[in-house]
Amino acid sequence: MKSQTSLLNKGLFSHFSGTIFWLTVVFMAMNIIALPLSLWIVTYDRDLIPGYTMPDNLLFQMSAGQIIIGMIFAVFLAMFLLNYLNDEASSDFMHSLPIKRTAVLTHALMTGFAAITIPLLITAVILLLERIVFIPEIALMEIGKWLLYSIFVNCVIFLISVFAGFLVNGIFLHLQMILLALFLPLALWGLIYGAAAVLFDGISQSFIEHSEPVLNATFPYIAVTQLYSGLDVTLNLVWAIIAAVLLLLSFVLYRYRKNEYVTDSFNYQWLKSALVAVLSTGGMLAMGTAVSLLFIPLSVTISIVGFIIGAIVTYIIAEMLFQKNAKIDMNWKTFLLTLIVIGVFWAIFIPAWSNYTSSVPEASKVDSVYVSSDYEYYTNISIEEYFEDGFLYDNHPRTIQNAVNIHEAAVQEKSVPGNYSGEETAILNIKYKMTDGTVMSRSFSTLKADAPLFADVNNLKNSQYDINSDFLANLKQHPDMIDLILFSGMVNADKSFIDDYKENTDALMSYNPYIVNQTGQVEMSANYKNNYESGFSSIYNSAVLDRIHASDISVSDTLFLDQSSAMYVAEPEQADMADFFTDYHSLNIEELTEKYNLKALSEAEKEETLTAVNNGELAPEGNKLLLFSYPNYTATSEDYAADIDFSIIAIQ
Amino acid sequence: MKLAVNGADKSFGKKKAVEHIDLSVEEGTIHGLLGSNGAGKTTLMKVMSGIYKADTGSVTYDDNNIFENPSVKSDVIFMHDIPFFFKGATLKKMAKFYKTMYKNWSDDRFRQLAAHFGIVTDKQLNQMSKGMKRQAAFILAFSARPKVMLLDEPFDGLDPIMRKQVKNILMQDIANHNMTVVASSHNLREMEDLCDSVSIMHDGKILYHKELTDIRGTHCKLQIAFKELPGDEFFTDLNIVHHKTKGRIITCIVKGNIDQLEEKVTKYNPLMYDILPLTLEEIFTYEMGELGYEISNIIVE
Repeated sequence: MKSQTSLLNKGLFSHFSGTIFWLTVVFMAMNIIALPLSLWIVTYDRDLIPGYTMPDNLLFQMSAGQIIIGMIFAVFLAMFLLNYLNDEASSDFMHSLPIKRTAVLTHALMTGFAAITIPLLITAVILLLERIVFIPEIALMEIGKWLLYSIFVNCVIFLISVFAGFLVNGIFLHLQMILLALFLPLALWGLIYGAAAVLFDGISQSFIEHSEPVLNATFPYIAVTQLYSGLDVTLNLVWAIIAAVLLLLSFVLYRYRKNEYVTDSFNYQWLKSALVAVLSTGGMLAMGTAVSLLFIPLSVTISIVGFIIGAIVTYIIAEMLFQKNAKIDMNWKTFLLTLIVIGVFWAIFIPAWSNYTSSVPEASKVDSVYVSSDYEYYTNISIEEYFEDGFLYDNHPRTIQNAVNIHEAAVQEKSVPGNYSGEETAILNIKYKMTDGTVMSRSFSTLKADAPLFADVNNLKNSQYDINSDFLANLKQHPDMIDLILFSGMVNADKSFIDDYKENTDALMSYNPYIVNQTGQVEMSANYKNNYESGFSSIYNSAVLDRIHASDISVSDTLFLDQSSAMYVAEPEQADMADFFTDYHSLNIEELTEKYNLKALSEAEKEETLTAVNNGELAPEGNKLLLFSYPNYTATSEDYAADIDFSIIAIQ
Repeated sequence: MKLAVNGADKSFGKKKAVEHIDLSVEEGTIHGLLGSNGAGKTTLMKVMSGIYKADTGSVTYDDNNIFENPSVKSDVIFMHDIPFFFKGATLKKMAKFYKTMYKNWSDDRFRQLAAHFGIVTDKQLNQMSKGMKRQAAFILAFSARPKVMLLDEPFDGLDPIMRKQVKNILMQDIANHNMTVVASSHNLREMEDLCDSVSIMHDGKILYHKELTDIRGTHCKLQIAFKELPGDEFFTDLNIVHHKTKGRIITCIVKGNIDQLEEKVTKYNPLMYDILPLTLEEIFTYEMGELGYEISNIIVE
């Protein structure tokens, strides 16, 4: 029986599979190298490493390279399978055959799915064998999950790429369309955010926080990140639906495709015009931002010229790429559309970001607030995942009102980033958790360092111990936590130490807030299966001191006191405590010595002090402070603030 | 299969490549589609083969529309002006592909034709000469045993012997299998001895469509020499529709009953005369001239 009467045509299958055969062979080979072989190499000598435990999701962690290879393969697969649409002779030939377009596409898709699935199945079989022979720790379920996820990811990319193929004619253009479909939203948002950060002060430092919808719309990104963060079923379901819709649209576009336009670069001229306009806007932002970073201090005009040149250059490049010719034909409709899009963009961009950077929430709508004059260490994602509610955030109404006041003052005093005035500037980060559950973040970097609002920021914390910022006091007992690493890696502790620390935090609240907030902070870290978090906690917590005593290190080791070459003792009056710490951050050690009568310790006194500290004779409730230099300190004539070279601990 | 094109239009943007074409080709005949480059022949052929969809109008084979209709397309083969083969394909591989596509494919015929034309079936087609590729395309088309063949500039690249052989096979298939053929060409002489009917296309329109047997039965060429040139009554009496006079020799195209022509001619006492059949070019020179077109502007040799 001849196959043309059956549903599937053997000849067409044979043709399509022949087209991508060697590509598939390369994919399979790279798959095997990227996963089973790499896995074997990584785990080969694990028995020689004492205490080695294999992470539960090692297979997924190791498969990032393989997933990326698979996505690249899926792109090329679609490009080569649909390449017959790019050339007049092949397009005419294929469409003169006695087979419907939908059937041709079905054959191409089925060939593609087979080319994705078969190498992955073979890889899965190799993994199974590897599990039996070498790595029994890999769960059977993990291999199954990996196989399904890999097939899913490759199929989604394949379907996006297939859809892109019906928009243009030309294999290089097809590749461009795929890249734009996958990365244009992220690239554009990155450029908008970058331009805004250059032109406005008051934007959150964390790009990721504002980018979740765009990142979720960037499938390659979420495909890889899910390997580490765990599979997000809802997100994958959304992408599966998108892929199904694109599959359907591919059939619709093919059905209505006009073969006579095969020599045109785009099947839909409006799409070309729209893309040129959008890309020109993106190019304008890229070059304008780069020029602004360099030249805004000198001239706003040069920045504007940078934006204009960026738009013109990108317009020409986009037209060259889209017309497949360096000698482009000017299309006035495209040109006008580009001008309109750029005009509309600026008309929205400037007021929107001005409004964004100037908006201050009403105190009544704020649930809690975090204000910092330091760089941000944590993302909202890590805060939610690894820390208790309230970490970093203070929900006291007075603190919230003060934070809002500081924010208002910052909005008044901010200027254009890069507009260098010659005065020292400082960073101000404000994060609000609103009563409606949303988060509002603002970062200012153009505020003068000596602005009164920074004194207010310090005062926010100095009414009592800043328990909200204490790392161990807020750390969750996370199931993925492996262990704790205390004092910059000197001591390891298990999870139970978190509870020990938390049980002893009440005392911290009773100590002198200036001392307990500004001295005795030691670095702690938590080690997770897929992550690592660190922060600062107080050495004045008795659980910490007990832990040091129980270990083979001393308190002075944790503070690097024994490597200190210069020590001073200060005993400021309680009333002078605020000024003392303000001066500690601004005066050099000589000026501080002079102003507060610091007493330099002799070698004998140093030894005596070290012994006392190692005996646990710390006194955060008092006013006797030991200023000690960091390791490798040498007295210089340079005018550094004391806090650059010296740390402080409260002693008896 | 009877081919019928009814009011077909095809535009490329604002330019109409094919404009309101009505064409009917009877089963078992060869129709020549003539016209200069850019006349719209290839576009019309692509519309007729179902590659392009007519913007308006229809293309039917035995009253069945061809566009996206595999059952009709399996009986219609379109041979492009530049034969297309898959990259790296041999004639054998292409034959294997055609076999899965066309229900009447004949392996025996393929073997016979490949042997007849002397084409190596295992050699990559894209490495062959233009003429060899053309022969390979004919082998594949003939082996598929279609009911209709649409040939776009089919004899380009073939040497005279091959042309003759291809034409012979074409004629055999028409005679034996009642195959219908539409062949486009810009070369009048090429189609001279092949077509039963012809159409001339110009600027996307069919200017002229006629059965050649009709023309040849009613028109002839008369070359006649006189001692003294006759008066105007000679031209009206013989129903001469076109003439050229050189000295005392008149070359003219005569319309009407050719059987009685000799009798009428002798009445004017010519020194000598000769009655000849018309070539295609002469027919069109006359017919197109009547329509107000200069044939040399339409068909370029």
